[in-house]
Amino acid sequence: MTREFSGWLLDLFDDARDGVVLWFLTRDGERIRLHQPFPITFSAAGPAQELRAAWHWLRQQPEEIKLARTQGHDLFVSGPVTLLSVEVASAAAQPRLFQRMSEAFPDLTYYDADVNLALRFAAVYNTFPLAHCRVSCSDDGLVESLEGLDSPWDLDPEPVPLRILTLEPDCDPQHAVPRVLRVSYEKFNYEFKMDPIRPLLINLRGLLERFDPDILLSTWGDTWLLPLLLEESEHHNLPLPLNREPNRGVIHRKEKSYFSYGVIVYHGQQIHLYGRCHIDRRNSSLWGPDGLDGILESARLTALPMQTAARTSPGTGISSMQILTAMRGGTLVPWHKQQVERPKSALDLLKYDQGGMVYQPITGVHTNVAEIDFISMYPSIMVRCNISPEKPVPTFLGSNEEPGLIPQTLAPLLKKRVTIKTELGKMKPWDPRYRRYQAASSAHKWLLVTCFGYLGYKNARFGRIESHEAVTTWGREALLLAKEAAEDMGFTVLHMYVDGLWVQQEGYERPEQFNPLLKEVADRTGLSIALDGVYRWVTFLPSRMNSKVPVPNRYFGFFQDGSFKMRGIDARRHDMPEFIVKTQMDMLAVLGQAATLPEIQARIPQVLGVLRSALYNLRTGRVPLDQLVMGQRLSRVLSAYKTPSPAARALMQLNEIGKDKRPGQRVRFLYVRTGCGVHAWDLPEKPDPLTIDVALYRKLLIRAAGTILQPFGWTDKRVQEWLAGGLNEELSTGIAIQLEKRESVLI
Amino acid sequence: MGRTLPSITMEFMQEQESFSRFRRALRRSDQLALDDLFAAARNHLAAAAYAANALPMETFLLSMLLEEHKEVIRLRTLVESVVGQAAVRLPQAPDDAVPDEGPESAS
Amino acid sequence: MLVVAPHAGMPLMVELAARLALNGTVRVLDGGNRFNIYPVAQAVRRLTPKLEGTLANIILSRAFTCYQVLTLLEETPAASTPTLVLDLLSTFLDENVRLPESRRLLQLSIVQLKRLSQSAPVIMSAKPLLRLSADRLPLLELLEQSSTRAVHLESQHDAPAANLPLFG
Repeated sequence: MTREFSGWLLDLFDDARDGVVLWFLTRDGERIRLHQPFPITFSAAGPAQELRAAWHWLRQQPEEIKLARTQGHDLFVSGPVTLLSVEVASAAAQPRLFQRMSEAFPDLTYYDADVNLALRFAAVYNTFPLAHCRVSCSDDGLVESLEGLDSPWDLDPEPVPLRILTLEPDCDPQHAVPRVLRVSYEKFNYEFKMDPIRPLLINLRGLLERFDPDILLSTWGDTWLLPLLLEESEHHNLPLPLNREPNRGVIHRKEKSYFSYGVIVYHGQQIHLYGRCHIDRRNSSLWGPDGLDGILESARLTALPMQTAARTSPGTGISSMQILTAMRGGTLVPWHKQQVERPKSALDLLKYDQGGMVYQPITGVHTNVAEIDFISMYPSIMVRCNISPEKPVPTFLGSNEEPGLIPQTLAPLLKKRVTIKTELGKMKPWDPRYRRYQAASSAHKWLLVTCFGYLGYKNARFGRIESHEAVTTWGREALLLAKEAAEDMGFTVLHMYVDGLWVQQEGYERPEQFNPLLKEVADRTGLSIALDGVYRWVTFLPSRMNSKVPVPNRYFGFFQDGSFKMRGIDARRHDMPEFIVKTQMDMLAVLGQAATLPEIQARIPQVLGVLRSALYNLRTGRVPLDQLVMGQRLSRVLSAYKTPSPAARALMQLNEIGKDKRPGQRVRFLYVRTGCGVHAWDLPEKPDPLTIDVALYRKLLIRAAGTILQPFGWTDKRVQEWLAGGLNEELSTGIAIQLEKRESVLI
Repeated sequence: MGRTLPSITMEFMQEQESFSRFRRALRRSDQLALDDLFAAARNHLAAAAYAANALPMETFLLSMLLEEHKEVIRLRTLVESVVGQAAVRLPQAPDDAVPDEGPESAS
Repeated sequence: MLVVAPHAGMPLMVELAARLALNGTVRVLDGGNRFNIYPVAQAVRRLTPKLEGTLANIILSRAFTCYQVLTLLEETPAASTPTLVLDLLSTFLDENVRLPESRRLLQLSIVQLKRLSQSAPVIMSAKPLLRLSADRLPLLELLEQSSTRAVHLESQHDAPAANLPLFG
């Protein structure tokens, strides 16, 4: 008997017995497990003799396979490639067979060998996580036909009625031992004591069976909760049905620290489930205020399973999209990146090996400045100039050839991004679509920002350094063309940074006045450009070391709509104590109300007043300890420090109570006057507030204040002197003018 | 990620560093003037990068000269406007330094 | 010929590149992302006023993984132009490539290097290994054994290029 239904794809994985298992959520609300055979084909190329030897070897392998001699298309080779093609009946068996084969025959070139199962399936059936499908199946769950009904590029897919179970401890496990676990599902809320754990396990099992959630949304689930629950469940012999799929353990990925481009990166351990999706809010690169929606959008676009999409890097996301394009277009997916750079002369290297154009700004305070930015510049260039590893390097800002693999992959993504951004611009925040569009927009940005870097990445399958360099070359050209357009129209270009320009002209204040400029730039470059906003005032900061040296991308200012923008200041701002960041923002808020230079100067006394009260609160112990917590990343293992940094010293304290941190993780601490100068925040006892190193925090605060005040003629020294001078000192409220382009002086 | 050559800023620092012996042997006041020259050249690093000169010091020297010339033009304009007023009147506020219509308007 | 020195003997390799470029084309295969044109330009300028022309004689290719190093060597035709290979071992020390695989690739690369050295001098440079990569020492030894001559320099500034038996 055949059954037909339409529903959404929840999960997909391989199974030794059933081929590929597919979990669906039907329109009627049923969760159904289906399966189908899904043989996997990969291939090898190389000298005929070796291929023959490989053929013989394969014939002797236990796996059920079909061999054939075929031809295929390698992106980097013109003309067909002769292949030994291996079709493995069981999807689950392919990876191991490939591993053995590549060890036995390391010199062959392999294709389509290590592609994620979800991508392979997506390439054939056009599915993706939560794709809406029409399915027909037999009584015993064998899929007979499968048809994808929607596309990842749809703007408003029908919302899927997912069942979400939320799990959250009552505090950060790194900080203290949680005592209560809060579990919620729709309108039901439960609180379970963590100790004793047996009742918790029983209750949790009951909830899992009763609600049968599709998604387990946890906080610290990867690094703490789930490993703990699994361990206790085994210890007490109480099976916990975290998976929906019976008879399976969960996937447990270990934590790791690794070195990447000069920085240590840390990944926590991961727990993935079968038939159900586990997402840890604290372990997801995409988790922002938009939460789950961002992850779902990323999964839609990349076709990666939700659990993978939530935890993976954007590079993997982009790579998946490229692989999909390749497989659907009949292009082979190489296992290793083989291509090397074509030889170029040293002089050419000098010309092309540059990054984005970074212009030195005219430092000082400027009013009525428009910031115009190219929209997704690098991806747009990649699409417009047809930059792709198999295409010739472009010689102008455009292309006469058929789109290559990279533009084919990026074009629909870019289109969706622009459409969503435009819609968001018109939408009111209370529109029911607003949150979802914001989430989608973050996911798009996350992917697009990476695609350029990925083009130059040494391990990218479809990367090529010449293409990567071509993108920056045309980016620089586009920026220069924009500068010329602005100057031709009478604007002064105050600053340029990779894809943005700051321009100014006497009499130009309203946003509409800049439209002709935008049009001229778009005409000359063929790229989209938009007005980010007009600043009431913006100040470009010079070097801290030498005020005569301009520093690119270091500025702050207020737009006409009152919003604030800041770049390049206190680079590790998220590590700074909340107290300092808040004081800085309070000081800025006062300045933000001003629209002209005289108004700014008139507000300086008030700004200094904010600083003074903050210092008073600090000195009199009124600042809560949690607002003084500093963060710092560990750059290496403890033993590798010659002189321990504050973070290292804090780590030593944590080690004493049995806690540890890996390189790449952040350690939080307070500066104190006693002991070794720091007190780790995750220690059980808090330090005596009287031991706080007030002098050090005062110094940090004044330094942070100095950054704000320096453009208006207040050096750190002058601030110190004013503070020391007492309340009666008069402030000269003169007018700051720009004597010449390098300085602004208070007279 | 694929960058091989040092950035123009790094190269600039190298060049500046290579003159450290020269700098050391100068008088302190001359050292400060030399520092000003190098600081001035930093205004045009983006153009120097774009120029892709295999001997970037040449471009840095040209940048220093460019800034010096701009200063000369500015001073020349300033001097001409002061001399343009018949009586020697010390400017008390910047507005006074800007010429009105010409010599006739001087007091 | 192999040069083992701190910073993969860059000052020496720079000098060599400059001198060789005076006489004609020089191939540079960069295995460590180290090529810096500025000191080369300065070295050339000290030898001749014809800067651009001389620099144009330097033909560069970069490899960023050990697989690429091998492919690069395989694709380089044997010719009468001298070849400089910079920081050859750098990519073979990558932790993501297992030692046996790294060794296999290095052996194949050495075969290619020998092929190229039949028609013109091939000079390779490598860094002395840090304690961290001690397990990869066999790779350096392999390289030393297959070179016709191995020169170890303590400091980057020993042995000016003029003293090497290539010239004169």
